[in-house]
Amino acid sequence: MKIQRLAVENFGPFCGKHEIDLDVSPTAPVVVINGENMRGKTTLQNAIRWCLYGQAFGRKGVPKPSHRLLSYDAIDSGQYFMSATLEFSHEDHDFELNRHVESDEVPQSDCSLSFTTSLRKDGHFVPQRQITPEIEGVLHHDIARFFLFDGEMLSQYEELLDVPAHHTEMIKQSIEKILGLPALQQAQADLRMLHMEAGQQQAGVVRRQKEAARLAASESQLSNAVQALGDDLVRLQEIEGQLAESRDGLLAQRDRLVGIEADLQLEEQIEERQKSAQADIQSQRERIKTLVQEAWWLPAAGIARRISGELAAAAEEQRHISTEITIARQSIAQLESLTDQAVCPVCDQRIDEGRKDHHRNETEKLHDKVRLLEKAGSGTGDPTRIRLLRPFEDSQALATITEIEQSIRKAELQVRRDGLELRDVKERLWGNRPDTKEIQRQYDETVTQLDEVAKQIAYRAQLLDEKKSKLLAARRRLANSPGADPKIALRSNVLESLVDAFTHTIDSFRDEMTQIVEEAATDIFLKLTTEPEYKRLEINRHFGLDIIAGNDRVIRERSAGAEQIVAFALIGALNRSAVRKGPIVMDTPFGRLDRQHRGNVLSFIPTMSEQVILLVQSGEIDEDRDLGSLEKRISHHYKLIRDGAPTRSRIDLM
Amino acid sequence: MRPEAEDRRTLGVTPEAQRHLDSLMALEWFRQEADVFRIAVSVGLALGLKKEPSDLVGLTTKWNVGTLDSDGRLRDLVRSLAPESGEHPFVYAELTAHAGLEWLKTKLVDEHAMLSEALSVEVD
Repeated sequence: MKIQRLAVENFGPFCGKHEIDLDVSPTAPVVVINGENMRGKTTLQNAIRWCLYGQAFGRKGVPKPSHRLLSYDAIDSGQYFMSATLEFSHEDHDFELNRHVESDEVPQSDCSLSFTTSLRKDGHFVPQRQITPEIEGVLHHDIARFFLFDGEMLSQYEELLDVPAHHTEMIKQSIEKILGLPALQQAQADLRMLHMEAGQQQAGVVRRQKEAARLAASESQLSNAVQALGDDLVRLQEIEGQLAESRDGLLAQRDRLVGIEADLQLEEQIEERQKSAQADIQSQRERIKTLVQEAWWLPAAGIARRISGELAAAAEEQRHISTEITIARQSIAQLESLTDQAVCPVCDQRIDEGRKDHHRNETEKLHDKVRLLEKAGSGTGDPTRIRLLRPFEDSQALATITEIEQSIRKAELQVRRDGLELRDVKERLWGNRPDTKEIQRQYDETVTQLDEVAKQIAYRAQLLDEKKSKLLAARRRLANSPGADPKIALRSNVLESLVDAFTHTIDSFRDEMTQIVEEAATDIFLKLTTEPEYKRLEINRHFGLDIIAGNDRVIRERSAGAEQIVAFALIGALNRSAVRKGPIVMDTPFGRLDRQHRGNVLSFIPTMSEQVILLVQSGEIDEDRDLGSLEKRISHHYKLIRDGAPTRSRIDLM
Repeated sequence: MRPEAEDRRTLGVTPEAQRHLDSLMALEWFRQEADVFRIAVSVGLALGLKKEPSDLVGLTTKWNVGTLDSDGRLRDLVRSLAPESGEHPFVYAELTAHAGLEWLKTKLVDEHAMLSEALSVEVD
């Protein structure tokens, strides 16, 4: 399959009609479409997918309803319709596929849309009921994942290493489909049916012979039992398929809820934290209330200390003055005594009048001093006041209050921050609170039912094998009985051998294809990786790929970039080995790659398929630096540009 | 001082002071209004703030002196920091409390000051 042209109308940001020529030549198989975020890269990929299968995907592979694809600007201008047209060629036929939806009013759901699909093959309209089989014949939607993919999807392939993982069986079946295994399986089933019919035919012939009637009756019973068991198995397998589908649906639902669940947990954690912080704040406030109640004088503690200090100093000063007065009075007494006596009582010397005058003067001075001191010391230290003030000087409680208050402020700030975060989380969760426990319960129940059905299938399959062996033996006896038709016997034998041959062939084919894919993937991986230590890739039965380094060491820890390189190698290998060839449309595939890996992948891309459409943004690819080496391999280079409004884009040729 | 022969046996607040009390209680730093009242007396004494008797219009009795000052420390604080209160320490306390309540309301409610800041009044 090769795409020539894509036309969209009112699709996503592409309001009105837009066309893009995607035809490529063998020497230049690449189309590059540059576009910044929100300009419509994913929309273009979705337009191709939607046109082919009527289905589009949003982020993380979540299906996007058709009414959400309609251009906002078209809706604003009263145009409630959109369409996508894809022109492509496949095996020498030209196709033009058109898908159109419209509504009488602003569509709120897909129920209000009317869908129209038309397909022209070599200019002739294909009948409606043939459109889907025709498209599936060109590029079955089960294998579309290998042709239409985005960077996010590449991570799915890592899961192939985990056995059993929920997507592995689905991806494995897709891989086997792209490799052509189902054709062999179908042929094997058809041969089994023919073999069964031949046996029943022979039984019919023999039944007409009297002597072989018993053998025929036995064959008939066994045949009925085999038929009944086969029917049972088919029914059980249908149930198993439905249950597996339901399980995958629930799992996908659960996976999509991972983000929501994380938010729900975060909400619970923040609320719990807030509750505990508020209780803590409350208890700290109670401590402050108690402290404040007991030490209500704290505002006056400073002034109480100051006044108390002043009073104490005054008391000290008063004591000092009293001492000085006492000393002065003693000196006065001595001098007065000396003035009244003629002889000194200490040295027995005569005291003359000049000396006595001197003593009188000194006595007078001392009296003056005493008067002055008595005047200065007339104030009191007021010991009663000092005693009253003492209890109010203690401000130790203030330090504790300060400490607790700071701790409360800090906690309140955290509560406020938590409140803001909680508001954000609640906004994210608004109207989006699924019952995750119920989904998990349904999932567990489905898995249990699935296990039970698998056991029943295994039991019946074993019984069927036993009955089939007995039936084969009965038929051999019938074929050799006198009344048997030798032609039917021969046909039956040939068909039996063919069934055996196909069974063997399918196993060999699977092993061979696995080997081919492993070799091709290794070849591509070694070209893409920048790590010289890596020697090869090793494939498992689920097409998971292990990186093997020197000394056959399996690399367990793989970076996101390495993971992407392995995924590229698998996709490249599958496209090389596929029975169906198709265009590869990659949306933002280089996001996780460093410069050197990006260079390696860019060199590899033109060899990946006959047509590669790259949808890239400036963050992952530099037009001058990265596309220079690819220039000659590019048929068309487009740019998605904002067209006036933020919700509108157009496609410009570079 | 108030020309009363006896000191007050009950204390009360004006409607405005009651509003201050309400807004201060809403801050959740205090257990009872009496606690705020005692702190307000302390603030008034520390800052030398006091209302005039003529300012206290429309007083509503709230506490008995025995309840408000069961251990006598409020009286002691007033007497020791404001000896001029003489024989009427509770009259003096009521006047300083009203001024103190106004100051506390401005500081804690209007200016959103820290409680510890309001309690560590420093006099220049």
